[in-house]
Amino acid sequence: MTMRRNPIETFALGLFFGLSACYSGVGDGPRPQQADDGAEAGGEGNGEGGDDSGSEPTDPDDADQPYSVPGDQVDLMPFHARLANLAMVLGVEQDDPLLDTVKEFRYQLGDHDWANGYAADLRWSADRMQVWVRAIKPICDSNHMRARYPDLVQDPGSLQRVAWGREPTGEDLEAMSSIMTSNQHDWSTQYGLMCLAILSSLEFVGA
Amino acid sequence: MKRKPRILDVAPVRRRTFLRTVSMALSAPFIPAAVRFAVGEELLGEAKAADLDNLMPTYFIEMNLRDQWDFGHVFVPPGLATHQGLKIGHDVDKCCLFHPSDTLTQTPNGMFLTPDSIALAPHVDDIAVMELNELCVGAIHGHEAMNAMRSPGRTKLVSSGKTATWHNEPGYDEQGNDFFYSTTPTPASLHNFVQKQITPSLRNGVTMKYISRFHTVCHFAGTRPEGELTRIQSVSQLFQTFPDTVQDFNVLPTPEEAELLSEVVRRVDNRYFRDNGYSSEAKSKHANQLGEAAKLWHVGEPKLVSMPLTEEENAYWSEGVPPQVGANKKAEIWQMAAWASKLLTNDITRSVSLEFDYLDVHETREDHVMEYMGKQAALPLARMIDQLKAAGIWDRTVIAVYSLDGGRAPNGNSYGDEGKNTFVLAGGRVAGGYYGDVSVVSDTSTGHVYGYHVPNDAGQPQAPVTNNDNRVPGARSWRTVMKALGVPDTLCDEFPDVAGVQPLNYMLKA
Repeated sequence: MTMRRNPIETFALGLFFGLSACYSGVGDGPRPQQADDGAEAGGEGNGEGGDDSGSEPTDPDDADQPYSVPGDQVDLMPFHARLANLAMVLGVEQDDPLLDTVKEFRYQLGDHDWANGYAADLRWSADRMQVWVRAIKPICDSNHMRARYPDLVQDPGSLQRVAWGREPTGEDLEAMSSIMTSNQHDWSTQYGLMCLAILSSLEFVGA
Repeated sequence: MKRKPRILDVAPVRRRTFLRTVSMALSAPFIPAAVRFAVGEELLGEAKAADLDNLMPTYFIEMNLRDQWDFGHVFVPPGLATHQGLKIGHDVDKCCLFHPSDTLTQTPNGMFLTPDSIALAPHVDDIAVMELNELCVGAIHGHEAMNAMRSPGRTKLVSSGKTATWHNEPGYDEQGNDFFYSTTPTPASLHNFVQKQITPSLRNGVTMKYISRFHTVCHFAGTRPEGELTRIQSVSQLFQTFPDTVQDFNVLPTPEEAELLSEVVRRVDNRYFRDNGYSSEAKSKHANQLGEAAKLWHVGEPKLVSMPLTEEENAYWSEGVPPQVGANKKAEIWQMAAWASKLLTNDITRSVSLEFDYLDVHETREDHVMEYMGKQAALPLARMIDQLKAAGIWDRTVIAVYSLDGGRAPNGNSYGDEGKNTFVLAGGRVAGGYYGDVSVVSDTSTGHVYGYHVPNDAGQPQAPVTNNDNRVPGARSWRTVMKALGVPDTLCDEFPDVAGVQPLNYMLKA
């Protein structure tokens, strides 16, 4: 996907960031430097704080470069999007108590609060997987979930269809088979694992 | 007669597990080093006894202090401490040392402490200071989030084999951080990787990202992604990461369920990788993360610690430490020190990084600025050392303190791309002392011209330079930290920018 800005907008944005004292965020990503010699870029201090008045000049050409998804690392959707999708799967509003645990862990799950200095963190790391499963387990164990998807163990497609927004394929169903055929676990455990697996899949949480 | 190492009595396929078990048992604080060595010798033979030592846990605290922290009120260079007629002041080229020479304390190993740092006096035999490291190169008078001491060979140019270092850092967009590429992992990340190999059940290392603005500290595991630290951005996140009940740790009741969930998600995600054009590396990294997640979904009977500080702990750690000076405070440095001590002394994790700042000050550095930085650095450091000694793990602990984005010249008006770039190393294996020197070379109408005496290979100060030349390469400091931590040379040599580089051996006990 290519994002384009007209030249005037690009110039105005460049001017704004160039002059702002403490610009934070909304960059398009890094701009490799031409030199490695720490050349002066303004930033004359004048007392406590806010000395960083110099900023990297924005190359007008950069704004016209296509944005490409990094191919060597998966990232999560923003927290608010994942929350909305959970609410949609459950058929509830986002302020429903069913989602309280998820909101309790919102910053561990990568949400941001710029005013308080918490940046978005959308890495799908082992730590975050742990917290995600911890946060959604009450949902998967809830009566509400079981009433809405009563045949999940026999028919994982019922949840896959809603969570992923497409018809599940044979491959999708096959992937769940080891839960369906597990003799080690009772129905309740199978149900919980099925739910956790679908709602922890990259198709549901990935960007 | 040469004895057969007893390890040969253990079935080959079980030897690694057996050695891990033995090493864990021997790592208990009350086991003397000599006993550990004797058991190692018995098991492995004398030649390989040192290998067992490599399997011993070590503990690491990386203190990263921004913005362009000045340790001038913590460790006074001997040349300044003893200079007669020092012109003291907060501006231009006056010396920013606001404690007169008769209030300084000289320790038996030749270090000079101020009243702000005197709490470190009992520990100076285990604290080495070397401030004349390769300077920072950030575009804004040196500000950067990496530092050559932490990732030698970092470069702003896209370079063959080097990868972006900032991808895992939340909020990494602001100027004053700069974008670097590297191959060399930062110290806490590599240490975290090593310790998790030794003890697979170990909780992941953490970095407490409590700098008061989006100036940050970059951690980079490079080709060892298992070493990536957990980024903690708030106090509540820290407490949630280390809950104090077993139930909160064991999200799933059995390891079988955790493994099954991990396996099913991995299979389900195959299609996502295929359809979205991700590289095989992305898929492989994800599989590793899922494998690690399985261990976190069920951890069995974890070691627990209560992270919130009690009233007594608050009183102990906070006494005399000035509050953070910044725009958006998250936690005080004494709190971070307390939490780091709890995590390490309870062996919850072994790699902890602290990120803290004193909001950037230039041109006029008043005495309270230096006093605050002095006390904020010295008092938590002294108390951490006290606690780590009391826990009996000091001989296997290393604390590395960095002026993360460059230090300063002694001048009142100074920026972080000149003068010093401070590296403090503390630990039971560290040879205490102030290495190198800063002195007055000549006077000006307002202050002084300062000289920087970089240490030679024996740690002795050489003839001064008055500019930024001739600093110690960051790779040497990096190798020094790794040697102190017992990270094998074979692993260090895998990274091209530090391969074969000699540590600063004068900073370490023989």
